[in-house]
This record gives sequence, C-alpha cells and structure tokens, in this order.
Amino acid sequence: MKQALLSLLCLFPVLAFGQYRDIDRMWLFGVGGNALYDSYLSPLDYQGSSLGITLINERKARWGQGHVTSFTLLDVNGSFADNPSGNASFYDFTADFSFGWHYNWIFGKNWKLRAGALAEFLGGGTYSTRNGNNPAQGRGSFDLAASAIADYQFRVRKHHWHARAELDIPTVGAMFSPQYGQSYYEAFELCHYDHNVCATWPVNAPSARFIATLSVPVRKANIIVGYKADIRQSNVNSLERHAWNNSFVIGFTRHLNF
Amino acid sequence: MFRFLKTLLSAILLPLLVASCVTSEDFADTHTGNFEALWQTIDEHYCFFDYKNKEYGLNWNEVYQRYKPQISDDMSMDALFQVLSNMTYELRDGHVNLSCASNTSYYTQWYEAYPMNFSDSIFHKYMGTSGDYRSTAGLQYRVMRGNTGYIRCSSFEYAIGDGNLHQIMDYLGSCDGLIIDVRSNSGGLLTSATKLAGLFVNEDTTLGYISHKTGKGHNDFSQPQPIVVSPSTGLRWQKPVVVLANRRTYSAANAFVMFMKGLQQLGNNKVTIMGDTTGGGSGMPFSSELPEGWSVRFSACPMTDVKGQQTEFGIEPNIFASITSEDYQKSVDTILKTAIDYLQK
Repeated sequence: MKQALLSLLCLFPVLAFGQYRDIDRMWLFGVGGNALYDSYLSPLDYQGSSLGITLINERKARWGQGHVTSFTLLDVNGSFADNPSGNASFYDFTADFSFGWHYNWIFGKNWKLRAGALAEFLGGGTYSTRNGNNPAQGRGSFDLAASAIADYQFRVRKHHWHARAELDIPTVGAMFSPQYGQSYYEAFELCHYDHNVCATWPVNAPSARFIATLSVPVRKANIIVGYKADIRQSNVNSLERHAWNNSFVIGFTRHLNF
Repeated sequence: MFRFLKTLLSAILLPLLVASCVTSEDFADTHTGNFEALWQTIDEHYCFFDYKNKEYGLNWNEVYQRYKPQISDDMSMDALFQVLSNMTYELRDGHVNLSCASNTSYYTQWYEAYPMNFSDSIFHKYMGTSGDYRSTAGLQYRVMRGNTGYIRCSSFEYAIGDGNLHQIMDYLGSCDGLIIDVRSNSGGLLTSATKLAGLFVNEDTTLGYISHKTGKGHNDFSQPQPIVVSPSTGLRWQKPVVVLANRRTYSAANAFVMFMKGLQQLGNNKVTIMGDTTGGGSGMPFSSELPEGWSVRFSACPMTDVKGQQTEFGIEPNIFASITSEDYQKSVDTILKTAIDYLQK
C-alpha cells in the first residue's frame, strides 16, 4: 500500500500529463536536529533530534523545447524535542508534497541553473506531553513556492561528480491555524470558525527549504551526501511558530526509464 | 555566475531570512525571569480580567507592582514557588495552578470557605453495596425510595456514550422522578457534561455560549458562539428532574448545571436545581510553562449561560438545602432527602 502510494506520487506528472521519459530519482535519508517553538503550546524553545526521508524526482518535460523539467518532492520528517529543563517533550510530524516545473539554463559544460515554481502541500502536527486542553497543534498548508536549483558537474579521476543546491521559498499560500486562544474543542467539536484559514506570504510565514548535495559515483551507483535545512515559520492569529530543521543527509540517485 | 549567486544570497535572501526569524520570548531561567514569564503568560492569556475587576477590583498591573519586590534571584526555590502561587491566588480561580515536581498550588477558597454538603459515608448508606446499584461510564444509578431514579455523577473524567445513557434510561424509565447528583464533582470532559445534558433535550438546543481570546489584550475576545446540546439518540428523560449541587461542583460539572439551568431559563419547568451554589470555574483551562519547567494552567476560554451571564463564581440553586450537623450525626443526607420528597409531591 505504502509502495503503491509512493509510486503514485512519483508518477504524478506521468499520470497528469501523459509524459513518459527518463527520471532522475533521488532518495535522501536525513538525521539532524530540530528547534521547535509554538506559542500555542509553550512560550519556550524545544530542542531535539529528527529523522526524515526525502524523495525527489526530476524529468524533462515534453513541452518547453527541452528547457523545462518537471519536479516532484515528497518529504516526511519526525522529530522529538525537549523543553530547556527536560521535563516536557514535543512529538512533531511533518509531511510535505511539492510538484512543479523548472526552466533550465546551461552554462558551459559544467553548470546548469534551473528556476521555476512549485505547488507545495504540507501537513503535520506537534503533540505536547504536558498540556491539557491545548495538547497539540495541527498543521495544514498550501503555498506556491519560488524554486531554484544549481547543478555543477565535474570530473574526479575519470568519474563524474555532481554537486547540486536547491532553494525553495514559499511566496503566497494559505494555512490552517486556530485563533489565538481558541481551543480545538471549540474549533472541531462545536465547529466554530474564527479566521482558521489564514493567507500566508513571506512577511507572516517566512520559510525556506535548502538542500545541498554531492553525488559521488561508487561502482554502478551514485551515492549522495549532503545537508538539508527546512525552515518553517509563521506568525498568524498572533500565534508564533518555528521549526528549524537541519539534517545531514545520505542517499542515492537512480536514473529510470519509464 | 558565482558573483551573481553570492550577491543574491548575501544581499537579499540571508538578511531577509535573518530579519524575519520568528523567535520565542527570551525569558531568562532566573527567579526574576520566571516571575516575568508567569505574569506575562497570565496577562496575555487569562480570560476573566474584566469580569473580576468589576467583581472585586482585580488589577493585574497592580498585582505585578505588589509582587515584583518580593522576588529576588537569591531566594529559595520553595520561596519562589510560594510567592508565584500567591500571585496566582489573586485571580481567585480554581483553574489556575502552578506545578513543580514537588508541589501543585491550588486556589481552594471557592469550596473550603463553605459547607461540604456531601458525605461519602452517608452517600453509601443511600446507595447500598455494589449489588444494590449499577454503574457505567462513571455513572452509578439505582431506584430509590418513592420510585425515584437516582444517578450519581462524581466526575466527568469518563466519556459518556449514547448507549450508556440509553441503558440507564431503560432501567430508570419507569421512575416518577429523577435525581442527578453532581455534588463534589470537580469536572472533567466538557463533552461528557454536554452528553449527559442531552438526556433532557428533544432537539438541538443552545444552552450556553463560549468565546476565546483573539489577541493579547485583556478585552480581545471573539463573539460568543453557542454551545448546542444535541438530544441523546436513545431514550430520553421527559419527567421531572432535580440536579443536586454543592460548592465543590466545579468546571465541567458547573457547565452541566449551567446547561440544566439554561433549560429552565428556556421554559422547561420540570428541571430544578437544589443544594448549594456551585463552585463555578467557567473558563476552559489552557496550559503553559515557565523557563524553570514549572507547569502553569489558567482559564482561557470563558463560557456564559444562555442569557450571557458569567458563572465563573457559581450558579445559585432554585432551592437551597444543606446538610445540618444534626443530620450528619444521624447519617441523613438532607439534600438528597429533600430532593426525593420534592419529587414525590
């Protein structure tokens, strides 16, 4: 079931646009730290560790005369963090699915730059082991993100190494948030709506995702090492939140033919 | 190209991200920092400042001025806990607690200054042994003298389902009157209180209002929204009912009494509230914490009755009754006895 869902997400452009082409697929497994702050749950910063999986697919689009690539990203991340005194914890889970297109510019033999737009869907939640009537914060958001990718290929002893950096910055979107002092009992049990869907833009939700990787050929495979920063912040309904996630990533790439 | 990227990153993106960081309040983990954090958390989130200012002149800024000189960074942790607890007592609210590993502070004057009006040992004389009554979802019930149905609800901590209520009504349905005893019920799940009240309505009925804070100001509140009680899906009670309350009827139990009194206010003359004024506690509590790691609980979402009146300091009964010291000696539950007699009239 899980595999079928993943395959469906990866094949989204194929199913949506009927395009059958080569796919560059990148699996990344991340481990790192997460700094969590959610003023609905606590005024304090929680620090902890996180584990995540990221799957990125890129392929050349049928349109755009070879200059356009389609892009999908699925990111799942779980975190466990403690308050400064270590007597309360947050359990945090985030799932992110993005898709979009990039326009490609090639500079010389080694450089490729891509810029485009992504549609990003994000869901998740944070559970506090301490609180009573405000024990958790749910998240759900949609945004359009500006996206840029820089690729650099170079040779090391007859082998092609591949450095890649990606930066995605959400621009406009919408997110769910309870009102400042609204309980989930009131929002969901009594179904009282109070500005629970908020428009977001970089001023009230300055966020970014940055992934830098180095792909090294090892025998027939390409092993990836790198760094991923996922900075999610919001300040809506007078509720402030941040999740600063920094991860060391390791993974592999595959080139597939569909 | 490198220069372009470097310029883009350093001149636009990085300053933008740094400048737009969403960060937490920077309270120091010192005695002063904990005092400031507690005062500010209550200041920004507590929901009864205006009401309590009118009731007894509560001024939270004045409280700050009075307690700040009592804080010094070299005082003991116990002394700090005591001073901070005393500061929360100024709110006269049983829903405001401060908890550390060794202690939890409670404001208890809402019941300690009043007669108990309930005795476990006398109660068990009326209920009998476990074979004499039934029990489900935290509700104990039996048929008492004069074909009077009796449901004891000592807590709303348990989830109550329509199936539970249907079975109780099936058992007590032939009784001529019903007593719901929520004395010394200090609350629990508001959903359970709403569910129990659903026994007494035949259609969706607004029996109270709830609002929440929309910002940090003392008067930043949403428009009160109705708390609609839906009818229980099984058998429902249509005959006279008496609700027994005392000063320890608090929080969700206070809300239950508020719902039942709301029915009365809407014209249902089969409902009677008997006993003593309830303890109140009409603010749904939220939790927070201090830099030291101490937990703080406070009233965050105020509820009012169907006429928009506050019930934070309790709901008066229709018929006052109390257990006298002579009755305690004779093991007579005067309030329960009065209710049974009332229903037999």
